[in-house]
Amino acid sequence: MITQAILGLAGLFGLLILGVPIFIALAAVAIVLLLIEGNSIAGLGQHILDHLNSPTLMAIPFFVMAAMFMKGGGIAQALFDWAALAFGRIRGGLPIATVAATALFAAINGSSVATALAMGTMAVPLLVSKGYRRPFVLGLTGTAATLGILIPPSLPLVVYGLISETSVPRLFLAGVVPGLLQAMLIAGIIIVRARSQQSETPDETSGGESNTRSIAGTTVWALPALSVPFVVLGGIYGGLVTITEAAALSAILALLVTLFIYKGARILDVPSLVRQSVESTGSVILIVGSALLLSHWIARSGLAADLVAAVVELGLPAWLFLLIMNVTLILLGMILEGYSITLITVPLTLPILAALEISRVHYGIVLIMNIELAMLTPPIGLNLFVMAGIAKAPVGEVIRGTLPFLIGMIALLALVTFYSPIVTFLPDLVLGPASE
Amino acid sequence: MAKGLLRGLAYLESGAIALCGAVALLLACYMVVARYVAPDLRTDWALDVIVMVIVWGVMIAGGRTARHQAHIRVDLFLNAAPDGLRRVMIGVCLAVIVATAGLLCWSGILVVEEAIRWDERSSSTWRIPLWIYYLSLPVGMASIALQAIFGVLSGQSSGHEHLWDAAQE
Repeated sequence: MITQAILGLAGLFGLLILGVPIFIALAAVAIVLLLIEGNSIAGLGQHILDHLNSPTLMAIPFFVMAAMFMKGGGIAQALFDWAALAFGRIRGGLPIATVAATALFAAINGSSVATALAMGTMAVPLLVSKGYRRPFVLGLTGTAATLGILIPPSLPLVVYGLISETSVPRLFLAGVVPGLLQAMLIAGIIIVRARSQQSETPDETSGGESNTRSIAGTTVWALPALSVPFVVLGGIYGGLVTITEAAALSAILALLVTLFIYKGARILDVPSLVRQSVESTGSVILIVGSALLLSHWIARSGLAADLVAAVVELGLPAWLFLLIMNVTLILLGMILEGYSITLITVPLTLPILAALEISRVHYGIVLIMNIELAMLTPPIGLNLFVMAGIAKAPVGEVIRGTLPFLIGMIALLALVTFYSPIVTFLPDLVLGPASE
Repeated sequence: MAKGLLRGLAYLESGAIALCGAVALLLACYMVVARYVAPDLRTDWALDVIVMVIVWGVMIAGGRTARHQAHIRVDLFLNAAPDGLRRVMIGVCLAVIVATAGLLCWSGILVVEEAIRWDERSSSTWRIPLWIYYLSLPVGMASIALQAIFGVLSGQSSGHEHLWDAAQE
């Protein structure tokens, strides 16, 4: 069985290197393995269709719609102005306000790229015009935008929850403390640099656009944007709506707020935005379907049991396994994007997690933090390209600006990996201990 | 003529995808509102329809995304390869896509046939025939396989202009 798995993995990576779309590569390998096992042709399609028939999976297109509606601007500006009220008057205050506004934006959409686009388009020109060096601005905005997938709601966490059969509300809560720690870490790096490198952080005390409005006025203006996370997360944890319904509500709220309050989009844009949402969701859902086909082979073939036996025989401690996985995920992150990393690795690692008594919730957050790093590491770090595109800057400049923040994030990942209560404390407190 | 037909098909396709997304979104909101405004109203069918229209939207979008070669993939090595090798790699890619999507299309047809033969229905109030949902798989996979075949025919592997892209412009 291990031989078949190794050949399957080799085939998978061979197809990926050739440039075969990931959902086709996964499906091709799964089909060959399942047919060798004696599965019927009809069983292949039936299995994919049965797994796609999942209400939780349907949350993804709605969260993507919410992100698409918010991307147009308005909401990001309102949140930034509000954050600038609090931080704009201290040295390095505007970059810190950018981080705070990004964390708030992350709490109303679950995509890192949408966060990078919305916050970057608004904050980068402003900070550069105030005298901040461009690499620094691009680095901090790109890094802060990765909060989009750690602070709930998070699209990759929905996918992970689905494939690992872990409670999505629990996973969402688990991302809160690491997300806030990451935001504080980025702010801390900004403060340290503000003190040590005066030239990089000018004495900016104007508070940006916020000075033109009263504190009350800015707060009232930001209220519709701030209400979205309360409605969505309040609805989920208040037991009023399911994850899918919350995602749909957030999309509708984002649409209404963007159209009628912040005027970030026109009604005529809506059909195109909805189509784009379904299209980008489609790529992910097709990978989910193929990955579940491969998971089906893993479950049927007895590979899971073989893997567990091999790990037990090796006497691998949990911390060493997590360390190995972190290194593997960071390396995979250099050639694969986040959903693919999740859907390729999780079916193989799940049985080992259970054997080593590693919480699936804890591992989920470790995985997401690795995906955040993947978004910032060349050659395919998506946020690097988004930031480079916004500023029309070379990607190398963005990488240079990201480096100090990246080092900080690796340190945070180490902390979260080896001290699981950071992740599990909040969900255990709110929802009670997990029964895994 | 052929270009006009393809352009019309592309418009129809994008309209259908947007419609699927909009119907799903409105139904999800209807479920929440109905639960609190009219608790006696049965809304379980709405979830069936949401899944059905989203999966149909995804499958239709699958073909469209394949046409624009926008499915998520690792193109790092492909872009770095010299011209000759790149053509071979694209050729192998297209062959794998046709074979895999073709097989899944066939598998989907078998599932649809079974569902019709046994009159399989969803368990919700509306008892929707499941073949309507199942049909999305063969349609989506056929569309993806056809895009790959068009790719071969229009000389995509030799770097020539893609027929569909030309029709879109």
